[in-house]
Amino acid sequence: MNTDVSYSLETIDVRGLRVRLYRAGKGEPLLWLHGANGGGWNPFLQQLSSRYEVLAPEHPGFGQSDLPDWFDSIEDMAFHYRDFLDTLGYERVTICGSSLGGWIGLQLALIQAHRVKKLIVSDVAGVHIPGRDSIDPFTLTVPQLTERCFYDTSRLPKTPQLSEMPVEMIRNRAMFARLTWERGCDPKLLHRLGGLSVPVLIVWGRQDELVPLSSGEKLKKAIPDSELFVIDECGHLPYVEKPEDFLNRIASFI
Amino acid sequence: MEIYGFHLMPYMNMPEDFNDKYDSAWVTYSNSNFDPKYGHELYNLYLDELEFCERMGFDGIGVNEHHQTAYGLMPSPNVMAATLARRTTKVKIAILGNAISLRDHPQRVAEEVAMLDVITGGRIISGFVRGIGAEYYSFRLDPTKSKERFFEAHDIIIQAWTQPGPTSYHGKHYHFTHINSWPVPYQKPHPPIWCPSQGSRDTIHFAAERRYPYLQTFSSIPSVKKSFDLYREAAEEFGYTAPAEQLGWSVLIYCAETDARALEEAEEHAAYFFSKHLVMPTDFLFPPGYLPAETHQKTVQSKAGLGTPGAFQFKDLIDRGMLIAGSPDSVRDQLIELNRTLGFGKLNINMHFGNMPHHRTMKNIELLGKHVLPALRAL
Repeated sequence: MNTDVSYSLETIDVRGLRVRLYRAGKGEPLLWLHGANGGGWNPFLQQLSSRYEVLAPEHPGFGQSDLPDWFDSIEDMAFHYRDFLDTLGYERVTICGSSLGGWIGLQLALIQAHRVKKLIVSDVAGVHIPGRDSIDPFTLTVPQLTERCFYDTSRLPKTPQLSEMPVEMIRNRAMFARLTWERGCDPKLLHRLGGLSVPVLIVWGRQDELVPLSSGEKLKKAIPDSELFVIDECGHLPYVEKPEDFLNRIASFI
Repeated sequence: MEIYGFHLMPYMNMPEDFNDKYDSAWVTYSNSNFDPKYGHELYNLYLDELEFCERMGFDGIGVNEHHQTAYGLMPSPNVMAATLARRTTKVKIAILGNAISLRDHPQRVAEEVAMLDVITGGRIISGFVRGIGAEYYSFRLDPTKSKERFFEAHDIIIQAWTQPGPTSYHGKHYHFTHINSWPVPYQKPHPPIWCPSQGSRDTIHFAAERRYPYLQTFSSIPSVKKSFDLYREAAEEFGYTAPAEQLGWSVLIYCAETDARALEEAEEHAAYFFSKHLVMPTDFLFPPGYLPAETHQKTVQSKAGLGTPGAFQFKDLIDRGMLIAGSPDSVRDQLIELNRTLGFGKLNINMHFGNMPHHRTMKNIELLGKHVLPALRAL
């Protein structure tokens, strides 16, 4: 197993918007769409990069990527990734997204299906289930929210209180609010996914408390060419808690 | 100097074990704790207190807007201003302020304030605020857009008041094809606009540019001074020297017969105010994107303790000038001295705070009116 950290870090210009991009590996291109906790490089991506060319940009408004003043929705994100692929000259890629990133990935596949070879989404945010209240991430502090993300709480990363939070984390939190504060889901998503022709692998942590498995089941039902892979003893972030299971399943799916 | 008597109209019968059972008096504090019969009594006592300010020679009386909280029972300040409009005849009625960023239709504010101004024959002062962080939880409005919405809502209201309608407005957040307020305000070009804030640089600049009075609320003396200095500097940049009338200070003041008695009584009510009414999680104060990312950490640190029960010691509140208490002579002398160092031309007195009973509030207003106001007015 190759565990060396060997990515390149660059800032690229996507239609006038500066985006920070982590990139590593050779092979088929795979676009990683991070969740609300922000981008960056991690051991899961490192593993992926031993088989694929991993592109891991920071979404607009997150980390050190720009935020245009008009930019405020998941749709804006999806159109941004169309432009991102154009900028890098990729006609078609496989996409892998976690949580908020999974939502963006589905939206991108809806508007640009021909650009998406295969789609892997995990513990997707934004699925609307009528009559069901999901956990409101904004009524939890960041340490509380982090705790709810994990099945094995002994593995919790240390997170700062509001008064100690670094600027990048503040930006991530504000951008997450900009995208989801007024509505944390898209009531049209499940209806629209009925017409999706891209093969989709849906991965879910069985003990996900933030976005329960029932959302994954709804997605499976809604998307024609999809399969659901449930990981036991795992919370909201399979790529952090169960990377091996996740990676093995990706390998057989792609 | 102009002197105003201001009320928050808090709910006072909070349970003894509030701090054990609840972590917030805002947003999530259940309205099952509100007793309408007691509420009826409170509203009427509070309105009596504000009306009494007129008899005691105050220049104006003030109300404000907060939502889903025991801290203040005025989700609509305009309703309160309307009840006061017909029960007073001379005082100005300061709405401090309407939280205009929370409105999907800011024209409604333009209409209501114009109604009040016409009814009172021009006694309305129209404050504009964007609402505190907790209000963005109550309304579930995107806090990252609150400032932009504030500026646009302001422009729409001014347009509704000053331009013969119908006109249209097309901004980033608001689009209206028919702006045409009936009635238009009694005062020309429009009622005075005040900007209450705890020291936001953007608000200070905005107010200074338009020559709107800036009202600093709930702050220590050093932060009041810092904000006033910023305002004066901004005014110079905009090509004029800010007169004292454009600087207002809003502060808790309590007068009793002697210093000792005033301090003892004020301590009890301040403890209720800071350890019950103001209690909320830090996240409610600073929702994501409510403050610019670059200044977020510093601002959160500067407000440390706010919202946390027991974080403020009474002595600190007194030492930092967040509360002034004493005999009329001593309150008067302190205010004269503070006026010399801070240079404010408007004083907004929170003459009721915490669980202050009616008789003490009335005494406070009477002592202020008879023994403090005459000396201040001469400044």
